[in-house]
Amino acid sequence: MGIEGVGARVARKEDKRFITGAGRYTDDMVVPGMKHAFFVRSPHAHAEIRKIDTKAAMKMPGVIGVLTGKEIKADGIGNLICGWMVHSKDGTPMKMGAWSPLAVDRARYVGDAVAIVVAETKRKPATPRKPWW
Amino acid sequence: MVVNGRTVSKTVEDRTLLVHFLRETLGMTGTHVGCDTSQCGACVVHVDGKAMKSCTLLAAQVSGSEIVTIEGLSDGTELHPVQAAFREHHGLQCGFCTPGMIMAATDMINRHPEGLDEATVRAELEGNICRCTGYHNIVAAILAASKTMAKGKGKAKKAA
Repeated sequence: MGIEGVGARVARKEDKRFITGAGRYTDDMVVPGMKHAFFVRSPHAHAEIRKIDTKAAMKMPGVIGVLTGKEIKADGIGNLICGWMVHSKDGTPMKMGAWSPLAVDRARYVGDAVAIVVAETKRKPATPRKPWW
Repeated sequence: MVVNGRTVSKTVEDRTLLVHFLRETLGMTGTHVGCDTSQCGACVVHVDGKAMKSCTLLAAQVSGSEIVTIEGLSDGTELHPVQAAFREHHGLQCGFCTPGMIMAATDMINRHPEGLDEATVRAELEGNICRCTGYHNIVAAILAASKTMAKGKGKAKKAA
C-alpha cells in the first residue's frame, strides 16, 4: 500500500499452514502410546461431594483409570496458582484461593471438574458418537 | 471414496463420522471438530462439489463420493484464490475455523458465479463460527476471492 516500515502491512508467517490445513492443534497430535483424558464435570452450581463411585467407570472396556480430587491431594499435587502475584503495597502477599485442579470436597460451579477418566481410545466402543462421560 | 483425488477404501465401524474417518483413519487433521454438534462449521468439506459438515455425515453414507478437504483445495503449488484471499485480508487469527470457512466460502463462490455482496456472504456464513478474528475480514476475503475467481476462471476449476 505504499507504506514502508512502521504502519506497513505485514503478511503473517503462520497463515500458510493454517490456510492449507497443516496446522497442528492439540487434537491433531498423535503420539505412540497416547491415552485420552476426559473430564467429568459437575452438573450442579454448588454441591458437596460426598463420594465418587468409580467402580462402574473402571469396569468399562478401555478405561485405564479414574482420578478424583482426593487422589490429587493425596499425591501432593498442589493447587492452581496465580501466574502473576500482585502483592499489597506494604508487602503483604496476595491472598490466593485454594483452587484444586479437581474439586475435592465441593464443586463450585456447573462444569467444575470433579474427576478425570483416562482411557485407551477417544470413543467408547460401540456407543454411537458419545464421548466417555 | 475419493479423497483429494486419491482413492481410499477402508472398513470402519458403522457409526464412524466422515470427520473422524478423515482425521483418525486417514490421518488428515486439516478438517477440524470444533463443536461436535454441527453448529460451528470447522469440519466443512466438499462432498461431490458441495460444502457439507463432515461431522453430520457418516463415512459410510458418502462411500463412493468425491471428497475435497482443505488439504486438497490447492493444486499443491499455488494457493487456491480463497486461501490466498484469507491470508491477504487477515481472515484468520488462530486458524481453527479457517479450513471450514475456506471450504464453505469456495462452495459459496462457486454457487454464485454472478458475484457476491456482503449481505449474501454474511447470510451464507451462518453455519460457520469464528471466535477470534470476527467476521469482517473473513467477509472481505470472500468478496475479494469471488472477484479473483470471476476473473481467472481457469484457476477456480480445481475448487469444484
